Amino acid sequence: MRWRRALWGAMRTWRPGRIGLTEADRLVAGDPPSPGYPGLGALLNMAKAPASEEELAGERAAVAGFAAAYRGAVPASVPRGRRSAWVPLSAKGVAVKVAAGVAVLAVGGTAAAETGNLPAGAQQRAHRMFSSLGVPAADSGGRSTGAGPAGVAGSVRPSTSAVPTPRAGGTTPRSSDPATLAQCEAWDAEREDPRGKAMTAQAHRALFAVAGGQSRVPAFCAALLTPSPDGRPSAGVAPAHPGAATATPSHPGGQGTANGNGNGHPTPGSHQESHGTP
Amino acid sequence: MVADDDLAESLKLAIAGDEAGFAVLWRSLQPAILRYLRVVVGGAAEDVASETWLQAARDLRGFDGGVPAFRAWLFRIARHRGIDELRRTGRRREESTDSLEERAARSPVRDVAAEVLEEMDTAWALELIATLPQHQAEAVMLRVVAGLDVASTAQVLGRRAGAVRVATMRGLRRLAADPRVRARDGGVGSGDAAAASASEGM
Repeated sequence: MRWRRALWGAMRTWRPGRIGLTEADRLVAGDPPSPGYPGLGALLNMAKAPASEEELAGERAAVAGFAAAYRGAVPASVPRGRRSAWVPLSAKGVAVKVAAGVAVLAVGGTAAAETGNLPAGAQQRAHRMFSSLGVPAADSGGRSTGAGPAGVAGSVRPSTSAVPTPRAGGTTPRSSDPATLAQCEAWDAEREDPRGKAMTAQAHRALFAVAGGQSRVPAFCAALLTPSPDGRPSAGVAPAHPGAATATPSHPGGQGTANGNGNGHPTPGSHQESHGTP
Repeated sequence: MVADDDLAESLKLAIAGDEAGFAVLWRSLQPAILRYLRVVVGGAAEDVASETWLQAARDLRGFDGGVPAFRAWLFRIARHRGIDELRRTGRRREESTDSLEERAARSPVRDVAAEVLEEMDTAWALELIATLPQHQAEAVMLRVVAGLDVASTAQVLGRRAGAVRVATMRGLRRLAADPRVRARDGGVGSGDAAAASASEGM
């Protein structure tokens, strides 16, 4: 009995020792591990290596998405009507660039990759994001190359096409289709509460078909369900700076959940609010 | 990586709707979000990351806090989006559809060999971490890769701080004992190169 305990003790001291809380905290802080753990430091350093080009390739699409989604976060009191028009100018700038990128992709599939303008990952992602728009290549190319004052006015349309809003497609009356909207709402409700009333497989398929594939549904529906404030001045009178958007009273205390007090879903209130607008 | 002080300004701008501010936030946090989601939802990580940012953008107007709070808030959105994804697809993780070799073969020629290697290293590390029990994997990712403190990690995971510390420790223990990790020691070029910048924290 005693020898067994002694042997056990010896084994414990002989082994490099399992990582304890203190050692774990050291490792988390970035300190090199004790010699007893070969490979661990290397592994952790690989996991937190600096960002790769591919990881950052989606920036333009992300910023375009931000512009659209942020716009949709306008308080519910803003009347919702014709979905169009009010886009901050800087969003247009981004949008025109993105639209130009789409044109490049649409016109010459591999051209962008050859010229090195877009990393392969970005190209794929952009293609995935925008191919649901159905924008004719020649058409969008012509619009996005418009320059000068006329170009700015002309850019309003392509700019809405930069966010995955189907109505900009021109070929697609489907966004005004209440059935599609309802499908998106059902899909969104299903995502929020998977145990709730499920969509039929047929409804799923229909929505996937309209969105251009299952993977495109989130962007498709996000654009469709995001209410945009109307009654706003359109292009010509639009605020010259995105900062002007802050003129809209943001409701700082309105979303306590947004500030992280550890309860359930991040921001259930605002999420529904942006969808439930009549 | 951008220091919190610099990010604070960008956060303020982004809350006010400024795209340049948002872009800085995105560049600074997207890699960690993507890697965290890679461990949680595997191949769906990019789509879920996009959804995460869309939701964050939608709700950002009401955000009222500093950079650490924002980071925790963002990762909590990512986690919920990831869980939604898992529920929807009904499986733990969707394996990445293409292997490392395929990705390496596909990557443009102009990529420096070292960068490809480094990407593969990172992917390899994430795959290993993803083999941990889920809560350990998440704790390791949030603490080590995302650089969240114990309290923020606890908030994101909805667990107590003590549980987070223990989960992190157990995860690291398992990784340290993994023969693939032990075999990897020494033969790593890029890992050492990454060490300098990584130790500044992400």
